[in-house]
Amino acid sequence: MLSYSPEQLAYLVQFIHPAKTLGALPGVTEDIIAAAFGLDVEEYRRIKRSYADNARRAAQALLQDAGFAAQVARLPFAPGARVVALGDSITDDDQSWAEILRHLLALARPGDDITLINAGVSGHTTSDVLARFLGVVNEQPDWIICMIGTNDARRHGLHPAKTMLSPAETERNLAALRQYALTQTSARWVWMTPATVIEEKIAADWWLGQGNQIMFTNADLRAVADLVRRRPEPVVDLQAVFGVPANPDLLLSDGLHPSLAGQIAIVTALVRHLSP
Amino acid sequence: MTLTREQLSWLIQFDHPEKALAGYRGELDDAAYGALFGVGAEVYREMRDALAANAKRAAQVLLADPAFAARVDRLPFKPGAVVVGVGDSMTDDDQSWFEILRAVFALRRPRRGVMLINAGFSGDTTVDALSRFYGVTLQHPDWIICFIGTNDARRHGRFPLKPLLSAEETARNLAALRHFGATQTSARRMWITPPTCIPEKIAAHWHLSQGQISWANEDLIAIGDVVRRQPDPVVDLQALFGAPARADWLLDDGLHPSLAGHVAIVSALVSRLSELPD
Repeated sequence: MLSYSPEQLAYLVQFIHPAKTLGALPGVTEDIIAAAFGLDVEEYRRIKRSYADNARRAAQALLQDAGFAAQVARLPFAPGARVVALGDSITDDDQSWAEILRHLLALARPGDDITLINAGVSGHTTSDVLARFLGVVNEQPDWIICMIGTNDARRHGLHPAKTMLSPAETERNLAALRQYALTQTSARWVWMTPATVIEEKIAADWWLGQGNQIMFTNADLRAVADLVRRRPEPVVDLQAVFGVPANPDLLLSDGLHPSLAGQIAIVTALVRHLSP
Repeated sequence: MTLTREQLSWLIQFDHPEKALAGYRGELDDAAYGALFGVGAEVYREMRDALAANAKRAAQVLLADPAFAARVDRLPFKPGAVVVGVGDSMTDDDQSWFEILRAVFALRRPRRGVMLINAGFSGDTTVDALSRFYGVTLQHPDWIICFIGTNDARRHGRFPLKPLLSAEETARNLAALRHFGATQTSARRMWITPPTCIPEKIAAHWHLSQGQISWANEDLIAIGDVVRRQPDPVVDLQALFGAPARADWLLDDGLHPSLAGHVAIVSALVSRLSELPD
């Protein structure tokens, strides 16, 4: 049995959600997921709850600003709208921008009955999202907010020959995702670029660099972001928000994932973009 | 979701959550894995054991042929060798070529101590294999037999613009896998091309069609071309299976090799391997 510290386990629980990856199976329960992490179900729920509380408190704090609250009120989601947040671990995160947005909408527009669907799955590249896009279609979305591409830039091994996906393939996948949505949904589409990172922290991280020989570079992430910025649909540029290298306050100590402050910065940039 | 026994067995044959959940500390038992599929531990274990028994019987039938047994004796795996099968559902399959090969070794060369590690993972593309390859290096393999690429050619949706990975990207990924293997292991490498399929059967299959998943033999042949160009020994299953594929060598899903198909793969692999120097 592997042994992890409580902090390491909380990190895994924050980002790894077997209910999504095992979702095709009929009997996925909280008890089995907790057991897979080696946790009893109460401890598992306590960890999940603490992240959900963070997301709710972040939304409450943001709404203290009357100007921001007015922007949330003006978000172009119609009553009853179904909004899909599509992405990787930065969206899947239990205290992500998507979770904060869910609370913003519930708190500021309780009568509008807007449904926020978190369709982030940790580790996913643009190819992985293309492979599960039917699940997005089946949600009958009115809006798709897509923050993808960080894992396309992921490199594996001590001497990686390439990124997970070459920029040419990422570009084709972005076009294929958009085409899939155009032909099988009537949703409006918004992109968010990958953010930036702190390469040295990723290399030193117990899980990413040390445990799994995973690395990211800001040059690779910029190449992906350039492709997103070139899309004709609306784009929120998170690289400008995070800076190069990223502002350390906006990232967890892993150097890759946004901290709660970073997730707040993402949702703020998104709301400002949608409600200028 | 109500599944028939056949549908359930198909899922259990290919979908191995113990691999997806490995590495997160907890250890689940048959009761938990069965529960994931909505069945009890006994039904789950019975289905997996039946598939394993198929692989063992296939090995016995193969070894009844003295020529095949002689080729097994010439295989270039040294005593104690670690042989890793990298692949997708066609390897992950409980009655796959790799499991038959394991049974062949257990029956014919039980004292040779060859360790066979099934690193097939259902649904994997060449990118997924690359992202999982560090785990392969940790096994200190002497041989890596890589049977990957079918899922690169997978298409999704009613109007798919492209396969999951373009053939150029597959070529870059195979080069990256070779590089990863060459820099972080001392393993010898062998490739197996994706086989061909029967697209009409895939389109009619209860699970694959529901997922709006399709394959075209042109896409698979393009991947096969990339694999055939590798500067390592290659077993060409496309020549063997034909296009479209021989129906009796595939399951009813039109995609996965049947037991007879896996037996054909093992025969071809053992023939090719037995020609290689020690």
